[in-house]
Parts: sequence; structure tokens; C-alpha cells
Amino acid sequence: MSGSLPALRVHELTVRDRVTGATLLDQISFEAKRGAAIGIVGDSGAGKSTLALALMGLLPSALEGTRESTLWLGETALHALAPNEWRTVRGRRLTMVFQEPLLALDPAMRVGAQVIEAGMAHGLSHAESEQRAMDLFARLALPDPARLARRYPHELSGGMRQRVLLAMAMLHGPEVLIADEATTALDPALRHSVLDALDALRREMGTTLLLISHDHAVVSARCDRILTMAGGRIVGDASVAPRSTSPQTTTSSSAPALASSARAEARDRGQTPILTVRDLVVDYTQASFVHDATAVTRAVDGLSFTIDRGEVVGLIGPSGSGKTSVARAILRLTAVTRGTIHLESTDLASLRGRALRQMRRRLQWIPQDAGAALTPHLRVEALVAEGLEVHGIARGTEALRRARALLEEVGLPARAASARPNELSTGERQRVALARALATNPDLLVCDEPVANLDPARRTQILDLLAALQRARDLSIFLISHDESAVERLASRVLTLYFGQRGAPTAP
Amino acid sequence: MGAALLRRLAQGALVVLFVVATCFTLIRLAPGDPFFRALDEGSVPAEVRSAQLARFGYDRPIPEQFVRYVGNVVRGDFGWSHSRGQPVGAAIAAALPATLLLVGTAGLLAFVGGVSVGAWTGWHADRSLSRGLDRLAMLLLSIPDYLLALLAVMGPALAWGLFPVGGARTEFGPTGLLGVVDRLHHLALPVLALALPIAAVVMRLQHAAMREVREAAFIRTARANGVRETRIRWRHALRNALVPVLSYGGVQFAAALSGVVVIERIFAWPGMGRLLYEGVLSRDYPLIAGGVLVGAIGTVLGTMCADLALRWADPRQRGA
Amino acid sequence: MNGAPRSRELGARLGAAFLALVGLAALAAPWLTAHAPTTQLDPVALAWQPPSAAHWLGTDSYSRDVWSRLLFGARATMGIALLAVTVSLTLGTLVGALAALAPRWIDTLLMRATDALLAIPRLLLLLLVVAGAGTLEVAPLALLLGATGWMTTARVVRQESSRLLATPHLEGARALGVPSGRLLTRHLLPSLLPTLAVAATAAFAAAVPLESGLSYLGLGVRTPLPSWGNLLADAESQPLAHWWVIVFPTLAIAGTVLAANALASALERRWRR
Repeated sequence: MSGSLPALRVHELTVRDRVTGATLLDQISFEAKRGAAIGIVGDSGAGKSTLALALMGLLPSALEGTRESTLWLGETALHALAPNEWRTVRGRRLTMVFQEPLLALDPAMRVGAQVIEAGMAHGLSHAESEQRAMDLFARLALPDPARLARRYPHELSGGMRQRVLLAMAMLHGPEVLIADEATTALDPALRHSVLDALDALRREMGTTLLLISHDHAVVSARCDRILTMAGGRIVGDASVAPRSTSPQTTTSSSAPALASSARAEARDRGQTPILTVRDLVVDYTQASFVHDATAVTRAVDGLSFTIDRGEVVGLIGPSGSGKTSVARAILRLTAVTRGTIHLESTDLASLRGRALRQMRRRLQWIPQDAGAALTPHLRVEALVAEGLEVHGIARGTEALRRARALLEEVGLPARAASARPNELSTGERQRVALARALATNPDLLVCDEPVANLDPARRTQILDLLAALQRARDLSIFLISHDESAVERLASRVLTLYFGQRGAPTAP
Repeated sequence: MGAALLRRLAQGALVVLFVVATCFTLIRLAPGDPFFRALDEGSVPAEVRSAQLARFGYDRPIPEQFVRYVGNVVRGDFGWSHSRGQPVGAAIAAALPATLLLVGTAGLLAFVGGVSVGAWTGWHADRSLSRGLDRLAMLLLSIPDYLLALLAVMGPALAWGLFPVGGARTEFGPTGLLGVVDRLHHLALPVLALALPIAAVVMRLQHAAMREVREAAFIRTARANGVRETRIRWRHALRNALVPVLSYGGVQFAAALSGVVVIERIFAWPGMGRLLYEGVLSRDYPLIAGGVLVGAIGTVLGTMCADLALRWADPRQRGA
Repeated sequence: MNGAPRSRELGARLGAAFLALVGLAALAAPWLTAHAPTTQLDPVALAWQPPSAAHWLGTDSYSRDVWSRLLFGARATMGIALLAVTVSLTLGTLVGALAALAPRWIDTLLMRATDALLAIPRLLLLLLVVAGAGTLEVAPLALLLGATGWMTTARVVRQESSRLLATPHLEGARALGVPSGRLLTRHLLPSLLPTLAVAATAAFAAAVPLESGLSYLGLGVRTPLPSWGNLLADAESQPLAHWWVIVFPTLAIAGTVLAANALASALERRWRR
């Protein structure tokens, strides 16, 4: 391996779907210097993961690279390798760490054995592999390496599993390491300790890093060059000045401080808020076919805020930041791990059975995809009347009459009443969901991305309707969106959620 | 792991107790028991009748009779079989080995055959041969075991005389090594009839599981680490694909045992199934109860073995 | 890749057509046969007649017309299987949906009991009851088959209900405050229909061989009343010499089960994606 050659050269890499002929990667060309750290960013569907798999020679059988595509790892022409030659390159000179550390490890094999397997696959003896594995475990700050090696993936935390995968990938001191969203599933603190450990290792081994992520902040903090992808092409190539501090540590504040500020807010107004959320923590256990429910992900981490009567409070944050989990926790659709939620003075978490059901009259929901949230085989008027009936507000024809009045109020034509949800447009279904939620005359309306599925014109209409209804009925609304402009149209106060924690509150 | 195993044992014991209770109810309440029919004849003097009832404990209160029955069963005393003129325990002891031989061979063949064929077709799911084999399994699944048995008898056994049509061995036949061959010769058809439908179920399960595991992320990790294909297939894919097969297999074990009664009847195999069948025909209630009880215990044990195998294949089951 | 779904579709259509044909033939049996199924035409001269123009499928040991017995037998076999499926589906749906909706401890209790019952071989349960009752009429036999077959349906319904309860429209109804009973009847059950259709077809495919197996053993439907199972028993002693008595019921049973299985897996593929 001569030092002058770049570690990785990609020239006119084009990948097509064999069946549909669709182009997934379109003439991708770039070079990576030895020891460089290159970030690849882009929205989901931009082709980042396809690029990673193409570099590894692991494209699914339905996809194929064109003959013009050339890939060079040092002086080795990857595009010309036979399958068994590929095997000797993969895992030794060119390695990859995948997303989803739980799914990426064999659930039926001890983690130590899996790392040793990666060592023996390239000619190391069992003892040598074990020695290197133990060294790397220690270097990656995994506690008690010898004991850890004897455990199964489901017995480890997400961060530990990710470090085990890193140990596998770094075992042979590879020339190039591809990390595909490798830290996305981890919480911010853990993400940084894992990335720090990785940085130290790769500098020492001279490994070139391709860091793939949709999170611009993570990439710009760790890489000296960023390639931006969109629609299967590279649309941007920029150098960045290396930084060592992470952006998150400055914006996220500690939970106790927020709790006290929430209390202060309430005291200032001198009334009981309609909703008080204190130190809310929501954990999810991840379930899948091959892996039983074991992986715990923290979606919301110590969130506190209040909503006053008649107030519209917005919650914004990037996708995956835990916004929907907050809504679901308030609505008692997801178990609250820690913390309290009060609707005026009622502790929502303590309600059971009938009391919980009756509370739901006061707390209504407009979910992300309102169309899917309407039972498909029922007529629109019956769906709207249902809330009136189950809460004993009105029955039979009276309930249907009031349902039709509500449908008119949200601006639906008369024919909509007897239609079924799938016969209506997305915007119309959104209005049905609104009428259904308003039927019980709720105190608080939780709107989770109420306009995300709509085109801009419809979006404005629905937001205006929501604003008008809010004024007419003196509603309290908790408005969740990733779209700041939508929230700022309505909300008097906006909270920012950043990976389960609250960022600085902003006033529009 | 200990606690889970204990819970499994307790559940099994509960099933057996439920079956014992049903058997007891049957013996005491079923109409047409020859013993009672004989005593209820008008010609039997009252004192003889009560003496006979007292002799068998039928004059005691029902709960006491139940406790006594359970106690007897625990000691291996299942009562007296009037149709065979011998204790039920002895009849079962004579029949059980033949059934164990039949079920054990068939089960082993079905599992090994089903798993290996299913694993191959699942891994190569895109080949036309595996699609054909999958369809063949579907066809096999749809032919009830007794029809398969009848076809097996009609074909090779009767038409060409290749196989004996009944019994476990030739009467006064050869001994020693030839005796073993003779037994295997008799075993072939009933085992085939019993094993084929089970193998078809196992194969389809294994096929589906292997096909799904093929796409799993950890398989990709192993490839990315340069692990050899053969090792990926055997150590990573097959072992994980066994999990659904074993967990479903445990549930299906009971269903698979049902075939034994019909198969033994068709091939005149001197085992538990035929014992049970003859018991039903001659209304020999203690015999039926004993047979059903042994069947239930066998099922519980079989299910537990499947459970243990599942724990071996899937470490996540051990914590629960 | 492209051919497989289409041929599967074809299989499902053939299956449905076959089941419909058998059902129609069973209903129209009196008009499609020249002799009553129990009539012994001439036990001496007409016993064991091979298939001919007069007797399409031959005659049996009592000189009864096999074609007629096969069609009338379809009535017993299909009727019993349908009734058994109705019973097992009702029981299974009730138990499964209740377990999914009820509090945790009821769920655990119900599903453990289901598992325990599932651990007893179904044929042993049937033998116990058949032995206890002596002979069973057609209707009780069907009820019994249903009562011993609901456990798999309960498990499937429990699993599918839990999945459905997490889908947006059921969560929407729950967030609205819809009580469990109404949730079950208005929102859950209609969404369960595809699952139930698959379960019913699979249960049918299991009930047909079970009934014919019992009847074959002489423990189910009793002669002279015909059922596909007891038709087989008649020629057991000399199956080769009297092949027509065995072959046609065998084809009927295997064909019906194959058709139901093909239909079930096609329905499953279509609805469970």
C-alpha cells in the first residue's frame, strides 16, 4: 500500500434497480485521503445507505452497479473482485458499522464470540483474536471486558452494543471504516462518548472514516469534509474547520432547572394551568421478530412545561426528537416511565378504567395521520357522533344532527356526512378528525403534526380554521410540528424539543 | 432460568391434573360401563351389590374416590381392564415401547428432514426447485395422515408386496441381526405415514424462517466482517431460524400425536394408539383413562423438551 | 418472481371453485343421484360393482351406489365441518378479543388456559368424550369438534387484536374514550374480519380430516348414514380389489383440504400483506 494513493477512490458509481430500472445512485465520484474523516449527509432516501452498501459490495440482489463504475481501495480495484476475494477485503481492510446495533448482532451468540469470529475470518488465531477483542473493549471503555464478552447482545445496553460493533470493525485496523447512522439510536451524551472513542482509535490506526448521518450537527463536528447527497447524486462538497466541542451540550439544559422554571411560569400567572407536565420521561422497548423486546430507547428525557387555559403552546423539534411521544404520554396512549402529568388538578397517570375514559372527554387528539385514525368502515357522521354517544352527551338522531352541525362548522360539504373516510380527500379527512375531536367540547386539544400531510394551500386553510375555532371556543391547544412556520402562526409560546430534552423556549 | 422451568413444570402438572379429573369423571359417570350394568341387573341381590361396590370403593363419597384415584394413578395403578383381563398398567407397559419406537423414529425423521429441506429451500427461496418443494409440502399437508397410510398400504405393501402390511415384527420370525432388519421392515411404512405430514409442517416453518433470517441485519454484519458463507449459513442463519420452528413445534407436538391412533390402527401396530382405540370400542373405561393419561403426560414431556431446545437456540428465552 | 403470485392467485381461485362445487353438489345431492344413499339395490347381484354407466362410481359391499353416498356424504362432512368452524370461531374470537382488551391478569389467565388445553392432543379429548357418550349424533359431534378446536383461533385473534389496538384508528377511538364493548363491536371486529376469514378457512381444513378420521374409525358418523370417512372404512379389508370405494372419497377429502388450505394461504397473503 503506497502512501501517496488515496485510501478510497470512487469514480462514476451508478447503481440501478434490475427490475424497475430506477437509478438509485447517479455517477457518484469522490476521493478520500488517508486518515481523512468525510461526512455524508442528506435526507432519508437520498441514497446514503445504498452508497455504503455499494462500497462494501453488499448491495441487495435486486440492485446492480453499472460497468462504468469503478471503486479503488488503495491500489485494489474493488469493482473487479470475485466474491471470495471480496470476502478477504471486507472486515479486514474495509469495514462498516450499521445502524440499529441490536439488530446488527446475532442474538444467539455471545458478543465475545462474534468479535473473535471476525478476527478468525481473516486468519488470526483464536487467542490472538481474543486478545485484540479484549484490548479494544477496554479502549472503547466497555466495563469488565472479560465478563462482557460472555454476554448475549440482548443483555447489553444500546451504547455497549454499538461499541462491540465498533470493536469488530476496528479489529484489523482497517483502511476505511464506513459508519452508517451508527450513533443515531443513541442518546446525545452516549453518542459523543462513542464518537470520541472512535476518533481516538481511527487516528491511531490511520483509518479513513466515512460518517453517514442525516444529522448535520454530528457530522460537522466530527469531519473535515462534508458531502451532501440528494436524489442519488452528490450535490455539495464542502470542507469544514475541525471542531471538537459538540453543539448539543450548549443548547440542552439540565432537567431540574427546567422543572423549577415551569413552576415559576405557573406561579406568575396566578392560576392553575390546564396542563402541567413535570419531569416527563418516556422509555420505549423495541420489539422485533428476531429480537424480543429488550432494547430500551429513551424518547423523552425530563421534559417540563405548562399550558394555560385558552393558550396555544407549540412544540417543535426535528423528526425523532420525541415530539409524538410527548403527545402520546399526555393522551395516556403510552406508558409514562417517570414524571407527572396533570390536567388542571387531576393526575392523569393515576386514572384507571371508567375515570380514565371520562377524562378523555376533556382531552382530545388530532393525530399525525388523521385519515388512518378514522375507522375505515364507519360513516363520517357516525365517527363524529361517536364521541357524543360514548360520553352521554347526545344519542341517536340527536347525536347525528349535532355531528352534521359540527361537520358544517369545520367547513365540510353536506355530502361528506354520509361518506366513508377513504372517499374524502386528505384535507377533508383532517377536518373530520377536527370535528370528531371537538364533538366532546374538550378543554385541551393535542394536535400532532395536524398539517404535515397537506399541500401548502390546504395547510393554511386548516391552520386558519384551527385558529378561528380556538378563538370561538376559547380552546387550549398543544400544537406539535416539525414545521416552525406552522407553529408560529398559532402559538403564543413555542417549546423546542431536542432529542428528548427541551431546548431554550422561544417567543415568536 | 430455574423459575421459568418450574413454572413450565407447574403448568404441565396442571394439564395432567385436568386430564386425570376428566378421566375420573369419565369412569364414574359414563353410561354403559359393563361393571355397573352387570350389578344393576334385577337378579343381583342388594347385599351382593353393596358388597361389590364397597370392594371397589364405589360406596365412598365422590371427593374421597377422586383422591383415592389420584393416589392410585401416582402409584402406577390405573385399575383393571375388563376387556383384556389384565391390569391397565400391564397393558400399557406392553404397548408403550412399540409406540415410543414409532413416534420417536417418525419425530426424528420429520424434524431432521423438515429442517434440512426447509433450510435449503428457504435460503435459496428464489430457485424454482424450492418453490416446487414448498408446493409439494403444501400438498402433503393437505392429505390427512390416515389417507396417506391407506395409500401407502395400497401401493407398495399390497400391490407389490414390498412391505409387510401390519404388525411390529414377523411372528416366530428371525432373531438377532435379521430380527432387527425384520423390525425395521415393519417400521418403514407406519413411520413414513406418520412422519410425512409432520415433516411438511416443519419444512414450511423452516422455509419461512430461513427466508426471513436471510435478510436480517446480523447476517449483513457477518458478511461485512468477512465471515465465510458456510459459517454464516450454519452458525448464524440456521440457528436463529430454528427459533420459530421450535417454539411452534412445541405447540404442534400435541396435534402431531393424534395421528398415532389412526396409524396404529391401520398398520395393526401393537402400541398405545391401538390399545386406546380398542378400549373405546369395548367401553373399557379404566383402559381409556390410562391411555389418555399416558398420552397427556407424553405430550407434556414432549412440549417441555421442545421448550428446552428453544432455550438452547434462543438465549433471550432464558432470562424470562 | 412475477410468476409466483399469479399462480398462487390461480390456486386460490381453483380452491374456491372446488369448495363451491362440492358445496353445491352436496346441496343438490337428491337431484344429482338416481339412488338413495342408503338403498341396498341388490346385496347379492349388485355388490362391489366397478364404475359403470349405471353406477358412475360403482357400488359398495351392500350394493349401495357410491356416487350417491359420496354426494350425501359431502352433506355430513361439509355440514359438520361448517358447524364446527362456526362454534370454534365464535369461542376463539370471544376468548382472544377478550384477552386482548381485558386487564393484564385476565389476559394471562385466559392465554395460559388456552395453552394448557392446546397441550392435550385433540384426538384424545375427542376419544374421551366419544367413549363417555357412547354414540354421538351429527349435531353433537359438530359441537364437540368446535369445542375442542377454538384454541388456535383464540391465539391468532389475541395476537392480531393486540396489533390492531396499536393502529391509528383504534388508538383514535380509544383516545376518544370509547368503552371496551363498543370498541370491540364497532371498531375491532370489522377490522378482524380478514384474520377471521383466514382462521375459518384453516379451521375448516382441519375439521374435515378430523371428522372423516373419526368416522373412518367408526367413532364419528355411523353407517348407514354416509360421510366421506366411513365410506373409506367399507373397503378397508380389500382396498386393491375394490379401489373405487377408496379412491373417490380419498380424492374428495384430499381435494377439499387442499382447496381450503390454498384458499387460506392466499387470503392470508392478500390481507396480511
